[in-house]
Amino acid sequence: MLKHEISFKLNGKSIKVEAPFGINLLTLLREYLDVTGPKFGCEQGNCGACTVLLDGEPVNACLVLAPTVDGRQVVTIEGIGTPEKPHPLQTAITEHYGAQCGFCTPGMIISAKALLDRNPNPTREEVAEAIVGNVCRCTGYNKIFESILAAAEQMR
Amino acid sequence: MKDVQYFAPATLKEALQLKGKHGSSLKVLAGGTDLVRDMNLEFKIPEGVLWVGKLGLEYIRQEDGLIHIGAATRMQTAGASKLLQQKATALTQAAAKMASPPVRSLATLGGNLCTASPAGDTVCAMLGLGASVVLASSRGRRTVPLAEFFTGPGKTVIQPGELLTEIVIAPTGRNEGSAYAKIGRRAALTLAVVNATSRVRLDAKGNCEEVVIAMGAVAPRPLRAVKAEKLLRGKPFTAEAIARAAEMAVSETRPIDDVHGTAWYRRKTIKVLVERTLRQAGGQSEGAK
Repeated sequence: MLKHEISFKLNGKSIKVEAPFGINLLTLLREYLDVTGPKFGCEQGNCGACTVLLDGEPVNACLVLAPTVDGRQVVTIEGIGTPEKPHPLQTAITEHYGAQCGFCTPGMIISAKALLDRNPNPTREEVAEAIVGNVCRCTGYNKIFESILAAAEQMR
Repeated sequence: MKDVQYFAPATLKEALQLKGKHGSSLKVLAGGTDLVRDMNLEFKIPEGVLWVGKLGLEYIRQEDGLIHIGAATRMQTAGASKLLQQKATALTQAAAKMASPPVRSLATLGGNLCTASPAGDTVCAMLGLGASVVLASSRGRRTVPLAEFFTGPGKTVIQPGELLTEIVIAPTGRNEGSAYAKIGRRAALTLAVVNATSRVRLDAKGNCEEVVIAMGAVAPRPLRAVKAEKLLRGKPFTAEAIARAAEMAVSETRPIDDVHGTAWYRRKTIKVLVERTLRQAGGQSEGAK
C-alpha cells in the first residue's frame, strides 16, 4: 500500500511519519508511532476511549482521518504528564480512585483537561457535560467527578 | 485495505475543479464523524477523499440581513455562537447538545445536512428555521431551500460535481423565536427517536404572522408540517390553536417501527414536541395558558 508523509506536532515534538492515507488518527498513533495511551474501543465515536486533543480541542482520534492532522498539533495522555511529574488530573484520579480497569482513563483525562483549560472552576454538571462522551463501565462516574473537581481545585 | 486518494485543497476553486473532475467517486470529508466511522466499521473505503477543512468554510456572520454560516462550521462553534443563540436559537439548542464534546469538535453543520439522516439534530433545526443552502460547482452556484433539499434517507439534490458551501438563515426578529426539542433513548449521546423545531412570529395582537414547523425521524426524510403551518398562519396563537396544529402535524407524518422506537410511540411523542416547540418559539412558557 502506498505510504505518504504526514508531519505534525505530537505532544510538543515535531514528527514525520509514513502512513497510508486511508487510516484514522488512532491507528496512526498506536500502530505507526507506538503511542498506546489512546485506547481502541468502538471505532465509531461513541466510547471516547481514544480521545486526544487536536489543536487544543478534544476529538475522537478514531474519527479523524490521519492525513488531516498534517501541520496540526496532537496531544495524548502521554503529553500531559509523566510518572515522575504527573498532571494534577492524573494525581487526582489515583488519589480519588477515579480509575478501576483504567481503559477509559486516558480519554477521560483528556476530556477533563479540555474542560479545565477553558473553565478552571467547573460545577459538577459541567464536568458531567464534558465527559458525556467518555464511557466508563467500572466506576459509576462518581469517583471520576470527585477526581476532576479535586484536580480543578488543586490547579486554581 | 485499498489505497485512498486524498486531496486537501486550500481554495474553493481548486476543490470545485477536483469535484467536477472526479464526481461522486470523490467523497467529501468535513468532520469525518460519519465518513470515517463508515470507513472504520463497514469498510466502505472511497476511491478518493476531498477534505474541506482548509477551505475557510467555518464562519458565522450576518450580512445583508441574513445569517451566513460556512458549511464546515463545527457543532461546537455553532453551539457557542452568540449570534445564533439570539437569532437562530433552535440551531444552538440542537448543536450544543448533539452527541458529545469530542464529536462536536469534529462534526459540521454541512456534514449533518449532507448525511441527510431523517433524524439529524441540526438538520431538523435548520429545516425548522427555514434555512437555504448554497451548492457550488465549477460552473456556478445555486441556492436551494432545505425544504427541497432532502429526497430520501441519506439522499439529497446535490449533484456529483457540487459542494455544499454555505447555509443561509433569516435571523429571527422582534416577536419572533425558534425552539428545538428532541427525545432520545437516554439523556445524552443519543440519536433522536423523534425531534422537532418550530419558528414563530407573532404580531402585536398575538396573531401568528409566520410559522415554520420541522419534524425528524417520522418520515423517510426530514419533514415540514406544511398543513399544520397553514392552520396557524394568520390566526390567534392560542393553546387551542397550538394543540390543533400539533394534531395536524401528526397526520402529516409517516413513521416506522425500528430499533429506536415504534411508529405508535413516534406519533405520540412528535405531537408533544411540536406543541412544546411551538409554545417555546412563540414565547409562551411550558404550561402557560
